[in-house]
Amino acid sequence: MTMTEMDDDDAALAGEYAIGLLEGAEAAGARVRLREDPRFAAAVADWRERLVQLDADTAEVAPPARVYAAIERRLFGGAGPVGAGSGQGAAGRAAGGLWRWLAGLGTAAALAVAVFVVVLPSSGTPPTLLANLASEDGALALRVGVLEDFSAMHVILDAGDAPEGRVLQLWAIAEGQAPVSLGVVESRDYFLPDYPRDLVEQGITLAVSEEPPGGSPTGQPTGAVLAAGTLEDV
Amino acid sequence: MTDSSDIEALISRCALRDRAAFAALYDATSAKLFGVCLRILRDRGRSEDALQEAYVKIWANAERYRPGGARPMTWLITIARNAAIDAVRRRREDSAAEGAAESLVDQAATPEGAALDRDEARRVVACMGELPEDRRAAVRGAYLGGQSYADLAEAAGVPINTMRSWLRRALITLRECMAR
Repeated sequence: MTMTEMDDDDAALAGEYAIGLLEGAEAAGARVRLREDPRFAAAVADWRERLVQLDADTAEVAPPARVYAAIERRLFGGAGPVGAGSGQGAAGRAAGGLWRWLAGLGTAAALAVAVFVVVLPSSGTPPTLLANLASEDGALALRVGVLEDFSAMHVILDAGDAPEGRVLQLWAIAEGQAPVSLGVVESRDYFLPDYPRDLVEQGITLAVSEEPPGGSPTGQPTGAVLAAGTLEDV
Repeated sequence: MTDSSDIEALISRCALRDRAAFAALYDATSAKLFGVCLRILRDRGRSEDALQEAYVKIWANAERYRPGGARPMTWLITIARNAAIDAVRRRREDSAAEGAAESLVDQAATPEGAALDRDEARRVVACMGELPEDRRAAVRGAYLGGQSYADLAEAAGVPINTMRSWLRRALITLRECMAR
């Protein structure tokens, strides 16, 4: 028990901090201890876990829809609504995805698709599933699609690159499961014929992380996750 | 209603920048968090602003949340509570900006596997009942109402130092009771 190991003064201080009663220098001092003293940090966490029980009686009040709209504007810019009670969110997003897929094709990408049409005529169309992966600041952006006949995934790096001395690695993440590698991002535009078809389906999360050269040594993401998106029907 | 492990999963997916998970998390938890903000701010407009702040921070800090550490609702309520308390304090002094950030940073210092058994955590409710009425009111005012020592002292008609020693004693008594 973390609480019994501390003296009263420290335990009370941890409680005051958890409640938010400390101000000025005392609050700053507590903040330092929190970082450097795991027992103090545990005592604060312990108080929070206990005090939050007092919230059990706090009435739930549905906030007006404008709050979520404002949050979304702040976090994701001017994009249309995504979920949160908006039944049309997914459909709107998918249509937007197709439009971006078509409009966003640069010369190299267009050429790649053109070549692909020749090689595999049945799948020279835009992908049937598409995920847009973008970092929060928009500096890194990828489109990852699954071709209509499921012959390959198509990866396009639209913006950004791996940090110096690192590589980008793609992951597929099914809900509640460990990420599965889709390999290192090979170029700004490439096809991936060999991908886990049983896993990569509509609704799955695709993510990109930065990893040491050659990709994650552990088979799981070891660097920062830079961007993620959901694979949606186009 | 969404249970604890579902909420934990949604937070983890937010860490992977999954907007649909964020929307689902908002749907599942915003009414509770709005209630927490309203309780502290007692003003709908300001509570809406605080709720907005809270969810922006939840999205930005989702990767700091450690499954198996703090219970997910505790983590979320702490963020909402701090956003609301910052809004209260900002009115008086302009030094609150730090406050909100700090409450999130300290998650990182939390040892893993620290979550208390729920029944044990609930003991605080019974232990509150053992405090003298004025001390109980002070703890409730501080935690549930987000009141500062100055607010509490004024409400009780005692000097700030007296209020502080009351409240610290009350916390120590609570701790002893909860450890029993």
